[in-house]
Amino acid sequence: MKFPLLLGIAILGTCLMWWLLRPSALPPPLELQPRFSSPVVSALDQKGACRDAYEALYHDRRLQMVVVFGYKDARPSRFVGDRYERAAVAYHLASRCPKDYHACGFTRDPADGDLFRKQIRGPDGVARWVELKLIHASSGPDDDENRKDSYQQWMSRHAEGEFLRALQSADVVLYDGHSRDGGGPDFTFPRLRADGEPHYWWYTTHKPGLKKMSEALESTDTPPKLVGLFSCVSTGLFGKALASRGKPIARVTSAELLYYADALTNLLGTVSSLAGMWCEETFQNAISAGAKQKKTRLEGFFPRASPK
Amino acid sequence: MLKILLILSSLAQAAHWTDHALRLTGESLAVRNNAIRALKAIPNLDAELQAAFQTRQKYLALDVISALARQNLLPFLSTTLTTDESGATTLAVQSLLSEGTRERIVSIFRDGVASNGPPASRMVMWDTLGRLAVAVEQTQVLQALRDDSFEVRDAALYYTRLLARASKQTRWLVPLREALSLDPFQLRLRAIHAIHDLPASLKIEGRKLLELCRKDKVYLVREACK
Repeated sequence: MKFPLLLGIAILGTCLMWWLLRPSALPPPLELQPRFSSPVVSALDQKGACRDAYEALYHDRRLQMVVVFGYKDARPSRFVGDRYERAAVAYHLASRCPKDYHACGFTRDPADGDLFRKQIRGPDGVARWVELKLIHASSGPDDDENRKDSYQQWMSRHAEGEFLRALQSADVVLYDGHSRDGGGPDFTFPRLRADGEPHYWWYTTHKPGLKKMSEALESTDTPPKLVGLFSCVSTGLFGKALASRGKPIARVTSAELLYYADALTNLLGTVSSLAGMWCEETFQNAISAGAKQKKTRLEGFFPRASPK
Repeated sequence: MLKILLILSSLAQAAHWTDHALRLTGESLAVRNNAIRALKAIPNLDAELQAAFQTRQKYLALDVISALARQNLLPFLSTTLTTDESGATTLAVQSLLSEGTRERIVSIFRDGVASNGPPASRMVMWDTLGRLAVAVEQTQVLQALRDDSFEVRDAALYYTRLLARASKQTRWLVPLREALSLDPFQLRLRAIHAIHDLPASLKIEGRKLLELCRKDKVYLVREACK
């Protein structure tokens, strides 16, 4: 009688040790983790506007979240960074969750490297799936080389297509990339001037990414419930375009220039807030990396003044 | 006038190094150059940068190390690569490449790709070795193609494409062939495009490989395979 019991304990102990020590079960690196106020206030603890916002967001059993990195060149330097930033976010999402944090604990689909899934408890206490697509735009880290790479053309088309489709059908769309001085979200290598700098005049004049984003939002009956634009001065440059059929869409935007690591932290703060159903003050704190004043703002998601 | 200039100069020096570091990116070349000058004037900057590794200012510190080409910090940086989950430190090491540091950095990266280091760090290493056209053993590339991390597998393929184009050697077709049977489908797509981009001398051999993806289960892969 004793032997099976001991064997069972040994097996359970081994499983527990394996689970705790497996490489993917490491906690996410602290350096990109958003700060959030403690104790965390979530829709599970609150009624009113906070609960209402998440009941609307988690109306279906599956929340579709699409995170798209634009083509993050550093012209006049040849470096392109979005592939590395996506790798850092992918690692973070697949890491073990520390207490109260939710941009973690996702499982990656073995057949689709862009797809992550996680089961959570919805505002009604019933299970929901969060499906997160993580897309990036560059084929490699060298802009000169990317211009000769046929995979780059595919990547650019794919990233832009996923972004525009998500604006018409996903629940949450988050963009992390360049603003191109008002030209809009961009997924391909930049137009350059003779001196090697991006052709900002062209982007400001033609606004190619902004036009496509506006058209996608205007032509859909199912716009996202939240759009996040983690790009420089997105509040002023694109805020007005975040509307569908005259109705503004809830948004996270930045009023000022945004340092790349702060953009990543704020993006992860948004993912954690939505997956953890954080109420307004906790949510706002989680997207305020590197800011003396809160220059990245959440607007229109909580319809009324919500409990702090 | 001189007094005002002196006051402005002392104010600039009094600013914290992170204020200058923030001006290294997203600003004009003139602003960046001023920031570099101001950073160079800060006494004990290296100690401050190393201390920042334990804080949220780590990324700014890495930007400064790259912008100022602080090669003397290479030994310090190389000791932190085993915990470089974001790949940012490895990128800073790569930014210190010069005639004088090339041998040392290539050696660090050769060891790194064979290690169990964080995936983003190994990704940067594979990319850099590819850019420098440093040939590693084919078995090591094939092993990387079977790594647990998608990012490492992707980087090993990116490396293979660069080496095939640079060296024009048929041995680089072996990892490409292997990649056509890998999951997720994004790896097969990258391999197909690498085959499309092969140099003229490898085109005929490469086209034969495309027979392997004509009936792929994923439509996007079949389309690219045409």
